[in-house]
Amino acid sequence: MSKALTADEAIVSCRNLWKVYGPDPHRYVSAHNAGVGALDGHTAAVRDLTFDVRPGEKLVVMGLSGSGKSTLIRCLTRLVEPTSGEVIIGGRDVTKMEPAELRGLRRDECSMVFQHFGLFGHRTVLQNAAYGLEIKGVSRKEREQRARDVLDTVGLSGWENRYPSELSGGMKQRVGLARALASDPQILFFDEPFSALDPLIRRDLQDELLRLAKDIKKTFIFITHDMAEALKLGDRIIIMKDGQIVQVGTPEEILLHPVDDYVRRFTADASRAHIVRVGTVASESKSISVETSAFDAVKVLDDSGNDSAIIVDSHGRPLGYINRSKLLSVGHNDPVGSLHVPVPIISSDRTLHDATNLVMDGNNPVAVIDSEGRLVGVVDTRLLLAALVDLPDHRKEFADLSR
Amino acid sequence: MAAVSSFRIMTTVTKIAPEQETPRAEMQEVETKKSRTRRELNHVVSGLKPPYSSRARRVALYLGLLVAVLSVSSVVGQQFPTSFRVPFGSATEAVFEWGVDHLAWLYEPVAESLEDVLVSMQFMLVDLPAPLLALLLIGIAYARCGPLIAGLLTVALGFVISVGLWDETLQTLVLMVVAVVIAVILGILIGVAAQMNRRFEAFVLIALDAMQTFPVFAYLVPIVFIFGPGNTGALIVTIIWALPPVTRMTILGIKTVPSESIEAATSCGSTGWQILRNVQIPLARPSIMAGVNQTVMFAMSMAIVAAMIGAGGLGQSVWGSLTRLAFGQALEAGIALVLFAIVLDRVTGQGKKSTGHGLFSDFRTLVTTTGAERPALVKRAFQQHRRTILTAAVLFAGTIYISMVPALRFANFETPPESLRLSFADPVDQAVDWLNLNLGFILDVVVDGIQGYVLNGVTALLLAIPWPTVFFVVVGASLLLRGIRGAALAAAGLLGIGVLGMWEAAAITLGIAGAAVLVALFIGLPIGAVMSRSIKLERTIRPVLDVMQTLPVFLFVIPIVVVLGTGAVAGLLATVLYCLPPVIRLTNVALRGVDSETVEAATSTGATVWQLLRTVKIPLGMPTIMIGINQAIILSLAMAVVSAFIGTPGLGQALLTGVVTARLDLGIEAGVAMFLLAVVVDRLVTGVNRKIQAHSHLVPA
Ligand SMILES: Nc1ncnc2c1ncn2[C@@H]1O[C@H](COP(=O)(O)OP(=O)(O)O)[C@@H](O)[C@H]1O
Ligand SMILES: [Mg+2]
Repeated sequence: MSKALTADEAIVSCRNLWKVYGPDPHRYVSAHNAGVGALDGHTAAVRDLTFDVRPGEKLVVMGLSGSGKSTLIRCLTRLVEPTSGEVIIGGRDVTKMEPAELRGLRRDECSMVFQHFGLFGHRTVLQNAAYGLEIKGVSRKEREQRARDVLDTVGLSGWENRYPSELSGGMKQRVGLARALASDPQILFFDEPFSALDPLIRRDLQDELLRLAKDIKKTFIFITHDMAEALKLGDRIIIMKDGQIVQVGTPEEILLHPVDDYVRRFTADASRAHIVRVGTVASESKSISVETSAFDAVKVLDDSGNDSAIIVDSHGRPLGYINRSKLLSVGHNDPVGSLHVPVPIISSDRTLHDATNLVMDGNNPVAVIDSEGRLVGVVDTRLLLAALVDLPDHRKEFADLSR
Repeated sequence: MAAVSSFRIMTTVTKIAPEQETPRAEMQEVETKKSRTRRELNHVVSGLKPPYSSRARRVALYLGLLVAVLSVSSVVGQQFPTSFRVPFGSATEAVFEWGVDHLAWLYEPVAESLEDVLVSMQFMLVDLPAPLLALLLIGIAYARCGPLIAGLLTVALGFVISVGLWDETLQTLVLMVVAVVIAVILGILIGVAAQMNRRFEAFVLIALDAMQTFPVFAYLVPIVFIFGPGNTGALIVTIIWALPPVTRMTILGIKTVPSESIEAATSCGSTGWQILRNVQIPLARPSIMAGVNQTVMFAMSMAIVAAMIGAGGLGQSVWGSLTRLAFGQALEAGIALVLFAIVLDRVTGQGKKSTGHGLFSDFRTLVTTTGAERPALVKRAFQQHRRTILTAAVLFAGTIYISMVPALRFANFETPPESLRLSFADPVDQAVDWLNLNLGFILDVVVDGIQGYVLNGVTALLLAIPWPTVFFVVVGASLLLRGIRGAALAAAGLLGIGVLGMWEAAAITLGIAGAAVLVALFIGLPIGAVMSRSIKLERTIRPVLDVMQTLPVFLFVIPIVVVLGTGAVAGLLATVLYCLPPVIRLTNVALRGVDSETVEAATSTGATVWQLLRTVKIPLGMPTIMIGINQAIILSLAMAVVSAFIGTPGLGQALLTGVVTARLDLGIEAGVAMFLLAVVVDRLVTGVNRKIQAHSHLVPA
């Protein structure tokens, strides 16, 4: 789980954020804090949220519709005025900003992309993309040049002089993205930007966004109600329900350790291949040093009840694979080093998807190594399949690889 | 009053959403009240326990109440007692007299500058060579709407010239342009200001409602009293009448800008002013333009009314001829008005289907673009603005040519050239005479029949009901439909009508309006239903409805008076014609608008056309149909004054007498009574509407 950050480590941090709709929102919050029951006739769209966003991270907020995601993201730049709590962006408390300071923040540091694009139908694509710069007072020439550049980045060059009504949905959202990027903000907010698009177009834009995120070092706060999208895009995911956080974690943590049935219902159908890392599912394997003699190696196998093992060098790096029958067919004192067959190697932070080819290529297991190249475990076909379809307790059951 | 109905749809529709909270609260109030009365009733009829359903009990309760009211009524008497009479009119007159004596310094400068504007505009137009002016107008029509409307305008101008109404036309146009420009500027300013301040907005909306419910003739009287008869008074009346649509549509347009667009601008760091200028107003433009269009049509519809208080122009020709019973001339001027109304509607309306960006912005794009896309852009710009460019070229050449040829430079269209002269005033008058001589007896029988058996009957019935009965029934209904406040309003309104001494007149007006609405429903509902089943029929009927709604009301009157002569029956028929279009239109819209999947679902179960209509389309379309009926009722009341011109008795008659004899007291009293009647009826009808909507379960509870 993510550890708490200090205020200056985080680029955005929310402290006890509330947004209550109704006749007397403040009384609702103080009643809640005092432990008196909830007031009637109010909707608490955001309830006492606290979380941090690290610089450069892609944070996805995910939840069913009505869970308060839109309200939350709008509270961050006060498009919706929070009822209480703090929002700290770049070290400054947004909730205490004067209007002019707030506008400065919106002009220079944050941008937002909207579900229904929020384009200005009376302006050309170019003028839409240049809008933020125009507001900042950048000269026409300069802002149009910059707008052309970002339009090019999102694949819209040649469309500058069209009007939004002439574009398809996917292209409209590219304009929305260009408009957000044009002012070169530190933080980008996305409120379900792809929800209104067709699945194929949606995937294109998700890939486009991932590509962009790799090129530019910006912080993304991304809202979605689609678990697959959250898993694909997020470095970290916040799962919301009724205005509260249910779980925070990396996609893998969420997938493998859902805290409750609400989260489990989302993860049940999620595809694990691209999320779960090999290191997480690899089973421990007996490792035998190259210098060991065949006789000693058989004894090691006997003791552990295994039929096979990985041979490692003095640093623990895997060299090859060996099994009992092979050991028994040679002289007692031959060192195992000369007996092993080569073993495929995969780094533990690669995904199951990456491991599939290696595992299917040969009959033998694949050795999983850590960042220093040391053996951490092995995966084989059965283990991989079990992990992909989420069989319970597969690790225990397949602890012995060669049974 | 032309485009009233399409406009009313808007307001009614928008009204539904924001007010949903209140009626629900009110309804709950009514619910609890109902259950309480039910319990009390249980007490009363404690012998009659259950098997009686709650409905039976309710009916029993209402019957009992009715009997009680009737017995009270028979004691109190039938006519509203004259001893309650309040001299509201003469009091108002005194106030106005004081105002005219002491406050003239306040409004006279305004009046004078308005007068100056009108006069100088008129001079300007007179100075302009008449052929050039005609060319300019046709050019504008062509650039905006293409050859068809330009052709229509050419015909209209040709017609006006050949019947010798050129000067009158110019006068009308000047009055319209000045009134519309002022109304639009004021309206947009008010609309924008309302957008900035919630409280101001609430005030404006209430004021607009009042302005539109108030019969225009009611403020005719005080304005004539203050400004005297003439163009200035007419201008002010026209401005007041034409102001609401553009104001309302500005407010509506700004309000309905998608919130994401505003958020997008806000999240870029725009100031409130920048959002207004860059986002809200541009995106509200289509709505504002629709408002301007309605404002123009409202102003046009005042042409004849303006003439009644001394404005010159086409309206004067219609009105003057009508009062002299010179139908031929009235018809000529009337046709001119209709032609111009249609052209103006098109020119200020949707116009060409452009994507909403103008010559200027396209041109700027051209200038700032370089490189490969340029030729394509140039081509596109030429294609899109071909008409404008063509018009500009023709105008340019025309100006040079006209200024070089003295015969054209000093041409005067006031007296038509011999070769073009045309008049069908005489033949029309002859035809009318012939008609009256030869067919008069048949028509007389029909008219007398309707008068004797229908109108007299209805009126007699309404007058025979003792006033307390009417009072309690209406107030009771308001209580059920709109809660305590609605009931209080209804009570105040009815008593107001009574103490103004207008009870009887109001009853007659209501009777005629009600009869007209019933007839209109009888004709309109089936037409609308048939229309909704055939695209061909819709294509045919729609333009007819459009034209009917574009016409100044008075024009309905001319042919009817020609055929039927004056009297209540002619008034009834004119009212029926006037309130028919919204019924047909909204019935059609309602039945067509039913979700196609729902219709398919019903059809796939094997429903016949009639079953489909009865079980699916009518129930689902009911709320919309009710809006049409609502509009018809309001329009029929608005028609009361107009039908008074052709001899229909009632409130309109009193108001008209006030205007014609310059009796401020009578005019004010009749006007206020009319207003109260309209408000009470409107509330009741919208109350019924909401009940139906609530019971339709179409909106989530
Ligand atoms: N302006 C508002 N007034 C009252 N309630 C609101 C308003 N905006 C949102 N809500 C309520 O707050 C809750 C969260 O809404 P929202 O943030 O839009 O959810 P999401 O974006 O997750 O679908 C919902 O129950 C919604 O009804
Ligand atoms: Mg949302």
